[in-house]
Amino acid sequence: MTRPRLIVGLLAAALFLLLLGPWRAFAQSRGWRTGRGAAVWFQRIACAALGVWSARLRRFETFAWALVYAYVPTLISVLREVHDETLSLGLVVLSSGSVLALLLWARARFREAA
Amino acid sequence: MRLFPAELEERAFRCGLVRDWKSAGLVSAESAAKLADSVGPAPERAAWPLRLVLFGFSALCFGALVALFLKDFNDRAIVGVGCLIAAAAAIAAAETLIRAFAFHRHGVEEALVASAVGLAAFAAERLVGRGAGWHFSTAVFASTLTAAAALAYARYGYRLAAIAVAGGLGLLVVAFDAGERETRVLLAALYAALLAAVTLAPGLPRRERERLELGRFFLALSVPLVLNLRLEHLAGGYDSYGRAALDAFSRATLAAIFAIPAAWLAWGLASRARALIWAGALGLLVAQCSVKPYLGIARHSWDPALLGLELIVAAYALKRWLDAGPGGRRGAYSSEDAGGERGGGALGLLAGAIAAAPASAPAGPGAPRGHGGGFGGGGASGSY
Repeated sequence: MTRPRLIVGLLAAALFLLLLGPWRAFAQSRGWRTGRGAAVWFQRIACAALGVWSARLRRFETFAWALVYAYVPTLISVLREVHDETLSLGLVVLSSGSVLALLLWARARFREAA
Repeated sequence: MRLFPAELEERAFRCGLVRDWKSAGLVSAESAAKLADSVGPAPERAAWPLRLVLFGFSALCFGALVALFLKDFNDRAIVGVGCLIAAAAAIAAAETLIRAFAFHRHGVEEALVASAVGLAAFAAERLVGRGAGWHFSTAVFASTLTAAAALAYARYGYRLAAIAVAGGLGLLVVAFDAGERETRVLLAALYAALLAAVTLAPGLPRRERERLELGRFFLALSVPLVLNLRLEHLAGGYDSYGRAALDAFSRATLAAIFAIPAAWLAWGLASRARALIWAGALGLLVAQCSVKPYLGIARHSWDPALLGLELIVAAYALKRWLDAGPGGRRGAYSSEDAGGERGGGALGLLAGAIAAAPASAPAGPGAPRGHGGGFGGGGASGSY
């Protein structure tokens, strides 16, 4: 991953955080219920769009950023709801293993020197 | 002992140097391509951000897997044996990835090795330190961690393993519980001795020394930090801790937290060692922030702003002083960015580059830019 691409990735994350605030203000002005769940869903949608776009263009770095940004809050929100220890650990193993495999697959597939 | 062939390690090191010279602007893209051809194909490796991500996910996945299997066992012996089996499985998986899939600094295999080291130490503590006191259990854990990390470094050459060796030895000193002040002095002496040993070790290949630079940085930074009696107060609020008379030991440590980083800085500047320069500068910064907690003077909300202003003034004064030297340089140092358009940026780096280049390289750097001094030393890269 070259430095400019890393900077672009960080800027994308900053832009997302900047956009999140106006979105929540807009939703609150409309009387919509916005809590942590809405923010996570907004983030998931944004990351999914970014992931599909980067996969089509075979941009591995953007794909990896989108995947990690989507995975971490999703895992945290799921673990908040799950109170069984075995299920929690199983979810962590399966999901982190899947993300790991997806990252390695995408890296080889996109043929970029990440 | 080392799993990776020396030729592969050397090639990876030289490819890294060529990349650094290119990014620093020392050689043109054409010259870098020629140099890269002469060095040979670069072993595939992940860039550090991806490596970090892969390391994190691998450690998370493997750690959760071990916890999932062992969570229902309470017997120390069973847990210990389970951890040993998991450590062996992690090593087997790492060796398979390296041998069969040519993983070389990908993060995944590094996480597996790191997990194995931690699990081996935990297993030893569970098996040997059964029912014993805190000191004995910690000593068993620390000594096993040190031994396992040393083996991991000898086998795989990972920087993290070298740092874990120093951490394990430090924990071993803490386990002796010789009293707070004595422990601090012992830790400082240990890390200083390790720093000297790493620096003066004879016969180390150049790539091995470069690899240990990060360890040297942590060792050098740790010496003043462990002697700092008010380190934990730095993250606190702005309350006054009350003026208290400093005893001889406190006065000595207050002097030491300034003198030692200053010595590292002077040593680093003289030997052009980037790790020591960073450790000295950071150590001095921490020392200055510790003065008020040491003396019991109340801190204010504007103190960070004053510190920032002071750093700006210091940087400006340093730049003026460097620019006022003959040719805009003071010895090997210049305020200009290495590889910049103006002269005076890259000669030191270029000297390091030429010294490190393979003896049989058919094509030297084609069109290096810059005519002055910069940061030099072996394999130095980036800009100051």
